[in-house]
Parts: sequence; C-alpha cells; structure tokens
Amino acid sequence: MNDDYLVDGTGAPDPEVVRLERLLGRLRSTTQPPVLVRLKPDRRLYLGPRFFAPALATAAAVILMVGLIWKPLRPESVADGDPNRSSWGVAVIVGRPRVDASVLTGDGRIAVGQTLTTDARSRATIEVSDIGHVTVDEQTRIRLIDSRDGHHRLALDRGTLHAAIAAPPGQFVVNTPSATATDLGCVYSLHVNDDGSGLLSVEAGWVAFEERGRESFVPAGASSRTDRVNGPGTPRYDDTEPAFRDAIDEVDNGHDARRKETSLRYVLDRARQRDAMTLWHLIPRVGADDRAAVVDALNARVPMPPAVSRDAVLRLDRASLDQWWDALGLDQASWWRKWKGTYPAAASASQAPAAQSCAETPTLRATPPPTNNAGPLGDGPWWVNADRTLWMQSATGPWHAGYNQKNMMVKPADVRPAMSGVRIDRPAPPMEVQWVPQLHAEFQTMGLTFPTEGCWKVTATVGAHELSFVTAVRSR
Amino acid sequence: MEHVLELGHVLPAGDRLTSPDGTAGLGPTIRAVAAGDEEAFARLYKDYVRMVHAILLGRIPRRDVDDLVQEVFLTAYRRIKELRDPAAFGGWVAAIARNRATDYMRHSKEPLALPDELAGGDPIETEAFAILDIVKALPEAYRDTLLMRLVEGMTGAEIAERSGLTRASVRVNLHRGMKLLRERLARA
Repeated sequence: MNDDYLVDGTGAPDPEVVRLERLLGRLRSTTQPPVLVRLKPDRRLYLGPRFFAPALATAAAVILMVGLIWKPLRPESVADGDPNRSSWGVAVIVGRPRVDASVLTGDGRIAVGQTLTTDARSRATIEVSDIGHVTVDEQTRIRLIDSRDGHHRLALDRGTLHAAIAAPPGQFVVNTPSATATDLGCVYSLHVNDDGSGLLSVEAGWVAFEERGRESFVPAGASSRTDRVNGPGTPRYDDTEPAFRDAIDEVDNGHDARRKETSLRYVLDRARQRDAMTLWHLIPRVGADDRAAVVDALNARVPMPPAVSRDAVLRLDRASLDQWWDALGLDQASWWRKWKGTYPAAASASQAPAAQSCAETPTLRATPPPTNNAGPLGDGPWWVNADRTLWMQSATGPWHAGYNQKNMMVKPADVRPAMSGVRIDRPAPPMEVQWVPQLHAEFQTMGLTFPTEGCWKVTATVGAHELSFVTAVRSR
Repeated sequence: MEHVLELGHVLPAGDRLTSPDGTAGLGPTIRAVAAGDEEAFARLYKDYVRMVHAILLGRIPRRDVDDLVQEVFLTAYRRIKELRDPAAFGGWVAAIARNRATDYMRHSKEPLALPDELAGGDPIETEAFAILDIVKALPEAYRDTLLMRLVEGMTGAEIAERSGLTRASVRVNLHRGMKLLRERLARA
C-alpha cells in the first residue's frame, strides 16, 4: 500500500490511518479567532476568548478565568535572567516622546525609575512586560515604578493612559496623585489633571480605585472620579444622565451642605436598578444622618438579603455589606477580597478568608500502582491514605468555589467508592459529587463542586479503605 | 537526498508564493493585518489555526491548548510588523507556537507525566488520548506532521504550504512517522 491516502487522502484508504483519523479527529481545533476589542477608534487589541467570554457573561467571569489560567502560562520574570524584564518596550505612535532626556524616534525601552513624557504632538504605546499594553496619550507623564514577576506599577503624574491588561487581579497598578488604580483584569482609561484629580473609566473587567482606605470597585461601563482631598469618588455607570453624575460629584466633593443634601436626594430618587452599584458605594461615604436613606434607596432597588440586618448595615458591618453586594448580581464580594486581603478598619478576624488559615493535608510525590483502565498517572502530587490503596488529586489545580472541577482517584477494583465533603471552618452546604462510580475500574474520575470557599474536609470511602484530606477552596 | 527530520527545511519564498492554495496572497494579507485589518486577521487565523493547534497539542496538556492557540495568534498580531518576509509567516507563527509551548512546559508546576486528559470511562475517548500520548512521544517533525494530518485533517499539500516545509519533506515525515507510530501502537 502506498502513502497516497496518508499524505492527501486519495487512493485506497489505509484502514489504520482511517481509524486514527476517526479517533484523533475528536481532538481537532474548534477555537475561534480572538475577539477584537476596540479601545478607541484608533486603538485596538486582540484578546482571547477567556477575556471576553461569549456574550461577556460578566466582566467578573472574565477576571476569574484570567486568574485561573494565567498562572501556568506566565513565564517567570526576573529569575530567567532576561535583562529586559525590568524594562518595558516603548513604541512611538506619533511625534517624539521622551524617556527621561532621550527623544524616541522609533522603538525604545523604559526602565524602572525612568519617566516617559509626551508633548502635545506625541503619543506612545508601552508593552507592559508580557501582560498587556498601555497607550500613552498626549501631554502625559508616567514613571515606571516597579516591574517584577506579578508586580507591575506605574505612576501617572498627569495626562491620560489607556490600559489593556490580561493578568490575574492585582498585578498591574497605577499610582496617581489622588488614588491608586489596581487592575482586576481589564481594559480601562485613566486621566489625571494637573491638580491631581482624575477620572477612571473602565471598558472591560474591573478596576479597584483606592486611597487611604477609601475604595471604589469600578465595573465595565462605569467611571469614578478622584479628588486629591477626598480620594476615589463613588463609581457610576457612564449611561446615567449628566445631572445624575454631577449630583454624585457634588455628594463626593461638594462643600455646601445644602447642595450636597439636595444632590443626595436627587441621586436616591433617580437611581435606576443597576445604579444599586452606586448606592452600595454611597452607604459608607455619606454621614450617619443620611445613611438610612441610602440604605432604604438601595433596598428599594435590590432587597437586602434575609441574612443581613439593617442595623448591621448601618453600623457598616463589612460582612453584611458584602452579602448585600453579592445580591447585586455583579459578582461576589469575596473574589476581590481574595487578593486585597482584609478590608481596612472593618474586617474582623472572623471575617478573614477562611482558606488562609486552613491546615491543608500535605500531598505526596509518589506514583500510584498501575490501574486496569488507565495509563501511567505520574507522581502527583497526590493525597494518599495510610495503606496506599486510595489515591486522589485534583485534575484542574487548586479548588475554586462554585465550579465542578475534575478529580481523579485510584482505588481497588470491584469495590464501589463513595465520597463526601464538609466545610470545617464554617457552616456550608455539603460538597457535591458528580460521577458514575465504576465498580470494576481502578482509575475513576469525578466532578467535585464546593459550594463556598473555605477549609474543606473531603472523605473517600472504598470498602474498608478510607482517604480523608483537608483542602483549601478559594473564592471565585 | 536522504531526509531524516525535516523540521527546519523550508522552501525559498518564491516557491511558496507560487503555491496553488492561495498563499500567493499572503503578502497583502500580512500587510493588512499589520495595518489593523480585522478581517485579514480572521483570515490568517482561519488558515493557520489548525497548524498551530497541532503543534501545541503535541506539546502541552490538551486542556490548555485552545488558550495557547489564542496566545500564539495574539503574539503574532502584536509582532507582525517584525515579519520581514510575509511568505515566511507559517514558519514564523509555528516558531512562536513552539516557543510558547516550551515556555509553558518550563514554567508549568504540574508533573509532566500526568495524563493529558481524563477519559472518564468513554472507551473511544480513552483510546484517543492513549494514541495521542504515543504520538506525542514521537520525534518532533513526525509528531507535528502526523497531528496536522490525523487530528486536523490537513492534506500533505496543506501542511507543506502552512508550515513552509517542502511537500517531499512532509511526505517523508508522514511516511516515517506513521511507520514509527504503527510500531509503537503494536507494542502498546
């Protein structure tokens, strides 16, 4: 038999090639071209579908997916000895930007400690390590403060930048004179006026905007002003009426008490359902005398969850505020607390993420015995019981709440397995298991869903054999 | 001439530009992509995604292949102005894919011996992954061309045009790769 069928599918079919085509064809590429994201009419960036999932289900889902998959893809930086790691590439878009005193006419680099300045006729784009791009508009000055693996920080002294970042939350930070913008996996624009005030506008994902403990979490389609005295302003969606936005600004930064009161009433009256995001941010920002009115207004748009008490909210109890936030339908509060840590001045030890104190059962680097239905399974890391009859590992990395994650088990044949999981640091619904226990198989897979983050004890029982381990489940 | 591994044997640009399947139009397409033409980028993606997918599938766990495919094309898009010879795009993007896969494996925290995918009891799926593991253990040139042919359904001519290899080299790689694969399947 000649190779014609193998080479181009002509001639007499080779049965073995046909069989392989049929089997391996199941693995064929089904990916779609990266989605084009238009930053501005003259700026574009292609990002993969994990950043802009079908129909942009939620911006937070985007962030989650970035966070989940980015880590294994990210090369380590400084450790690989690449001298360019502490500097970023700069490309001139137009004009003659400067890096310190040097005029750029083409491509160049900006190193940590250096300043990039554009005049009225120049613009440039910066490649932020390998996590994204920053476009620097005219009349802008930025400084590169830090660039290490997982830590990239710019200072925007004045002017405008447009960032498109694809990295886990918290890796890219921009200091401004009046607030710090922390990227949570997104596309956004940031402008700083000569007086240090500014405006953050988010196009995709989320940005945390904070200064001296005052925080704004700005979702896609929303903006937040910042003021040198008062810090980050209350975020509001860009499709609100100008009068609504002006009223927010007055509440945030106004000096006339009567005008502020009038503006607050206007905001509370005119807020739409989706402006619940704005009302939620207002709760800790208004004075105690006005707080009840804000709580009532938010409650009218998004009812307070049954487990949340009005008194607790009025006391600015962080856990209660977070629970209400979770009811807004934006995403759970816990995911940004995950990287942020405890909330300033409000968090108590009991509110700290449980997973941080979870005494996880150590895993083992060892190779399980050969099974009757799978190939070599590698050396783990595995959880293994004392008599080494049960072996388990997550096939998808660290556990995250709310996901059906694949798990694999090596067990004795001809014994039916059972599994359960309970959260041990706080009450929670039990872990869910999806599988078809395979009586005769020694290798078994199953999907495990942990309904909440925290510290979980998982127990597998196969006949007289038992394997229990404690594992931390991260928030989404 | 004896071919051993036709990994880096590429045609001169002129030969590729006279190819029958349309790569003669690659120059304008590349220039259009460099100028930000979205449709041109989509065309480029459509033409080369199978090759990139096959290269990655032969090197990294399948669950991450689709994401790295996107990474590779994003990198190509960002750097396309660096491409001096548009006709060399195939070899260039293939090199990006191989480098990206190398980076991935170098920095992956997961043990390499883990099964690529969990079959979960489906015998056909189990067999497919078992065969994939065997193909992945073949020499690089055989592995890539076999995956382009058997997984992606590309013909030898398509493989040659996309990868920049000569058709003769592709034929040799397929022939020898298949011979080796048959031997290893017989032993498995």
